Amino acid sequence: MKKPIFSALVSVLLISITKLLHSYFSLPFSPFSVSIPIITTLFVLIICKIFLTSKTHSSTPPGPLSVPIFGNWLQVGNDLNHRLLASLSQTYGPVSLLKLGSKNLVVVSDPELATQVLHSQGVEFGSRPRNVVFDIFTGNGQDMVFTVYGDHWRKMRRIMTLPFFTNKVVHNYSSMWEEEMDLVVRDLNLNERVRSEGIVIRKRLQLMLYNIMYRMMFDAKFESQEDPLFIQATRFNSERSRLAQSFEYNYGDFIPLLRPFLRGYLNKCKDLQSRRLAFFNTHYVEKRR
Amino acid sequence: MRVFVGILLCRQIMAANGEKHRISCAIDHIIDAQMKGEISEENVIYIVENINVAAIETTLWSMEWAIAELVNHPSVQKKIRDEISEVLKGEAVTESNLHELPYLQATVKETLRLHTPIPLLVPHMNLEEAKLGGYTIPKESKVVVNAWWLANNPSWWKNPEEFRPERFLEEECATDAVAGGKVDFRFVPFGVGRRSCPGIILALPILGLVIAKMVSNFELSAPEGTKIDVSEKGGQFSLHIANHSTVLFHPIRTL
Repeated sequence: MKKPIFSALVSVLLISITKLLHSYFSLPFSPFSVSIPIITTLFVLIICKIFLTSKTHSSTPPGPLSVPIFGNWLQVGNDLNHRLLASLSQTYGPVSLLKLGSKNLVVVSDPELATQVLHSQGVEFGSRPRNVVFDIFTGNGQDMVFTVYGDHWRKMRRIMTLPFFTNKVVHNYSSMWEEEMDLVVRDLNLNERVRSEGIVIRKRLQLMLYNIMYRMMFDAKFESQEDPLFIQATRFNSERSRLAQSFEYNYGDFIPLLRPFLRGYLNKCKDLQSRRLAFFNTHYVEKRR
Repeated sequence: MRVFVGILLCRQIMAANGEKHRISCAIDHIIDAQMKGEISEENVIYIVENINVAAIETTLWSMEWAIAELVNHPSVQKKIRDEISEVLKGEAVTESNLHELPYLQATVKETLRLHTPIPLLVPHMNLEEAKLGGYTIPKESKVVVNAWWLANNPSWWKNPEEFRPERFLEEECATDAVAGGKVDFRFVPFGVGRRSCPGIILALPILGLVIAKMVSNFELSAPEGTKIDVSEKGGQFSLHIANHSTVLFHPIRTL
């Protein structure tokens, strides 16, 4: 075996072990908190550059150099937000590729290419990836939003469009929307405090939106922000959003080796989801059957 | 099982008689589709799940963003108020006259541009290897379109960091919030095409109506001459305001 390749492999193995040990003792961890001697990192990067550039990667989109097992995760971390990805496009151009452990992330940052993905090649790019957490919250894609492109999706979209997303629905329900909004105006007029100290308006608007959608969906509404069903529904939904939207589980999603460390998190998601769906079923769906 | 068959029969008889009176809300249609064997019981509950998250939460984030920007820009509030009184002359804002209020609609668009609630849209995936911009995209890649950057890149937008609804009446007057048809691909807050957000048809009028009702009944301000903190908090694919804002509502005494 050639010497540089051998050293690269040894170093990568070393990092893997360090990371595994670290994650075992301090979870959740961020890749930046791991203190690997800088010299080792630099050494590995230099070796990997020699190691990787010898291969021909010219046909995939440009992106930062990646190492085996972790890909670019050590460089970019878990928090892959829109600003970070925008700055990536400043370096690598309108389409770039990040290797996140075992997964590929392609970032499109140009209107022309967006047209390709969303419109001209809409069928080719028409499926949805799901991560380990979204598998749980969508029942492995039994919903509409996260299901693969195909017959099931087409049927779900058609079935949901008729009662939710047509001009007729808007026409039939818009006076109800206005009624719910006028109730917000009434409440604000009746409440002296909104003039002196002000209020966190989100809470009242949340009740309004729940009432708008639950009246459209179930012909049901909540009495007030103190309505026990409203409290339960909003708790279930916000907990679901917190668990699903968090970046903290990315490491275990990207790197199958680290997945065992996610077990507790995933169990929490499963438990929440089954209680949440049972809540929707018992209080709303079953009553309409 | 017997109960199930009973309900099924009952529904079939009702359908045969053309008695549609029991179908009064969306879930009735969905359950009907299940009874006809088109979808499973699980699909029904996951439709409910999708509406709870995709319809309610995203719209709420946008409302919070809109109100925060309105508080920080009293001149925008005044322009909306003036437009409503000039155009509608005392008549109430309703869904059917929203199209007569271009400045109000520009405010909705500007909110979605600057604070795109799903900044990377919902991720796409290619089941097979594909080509994009001359590159090979390995199969089963997660493909994200940075819709927020398309709408906030300074090389395509004038002072993109500024909240200025006027841009949609001036230099961007041809840019509309649509998910199909004549699309300006710099502004796609709902995505475009097959997998675009079907909720656009509800979200745009609901956002317009809420802003109109708030601003025409109240003057919105922040406590003690402060400004509302518009720091953002991102998630896997969400962008919401980091701190829920406290707002003062001063009733406007009208005619």
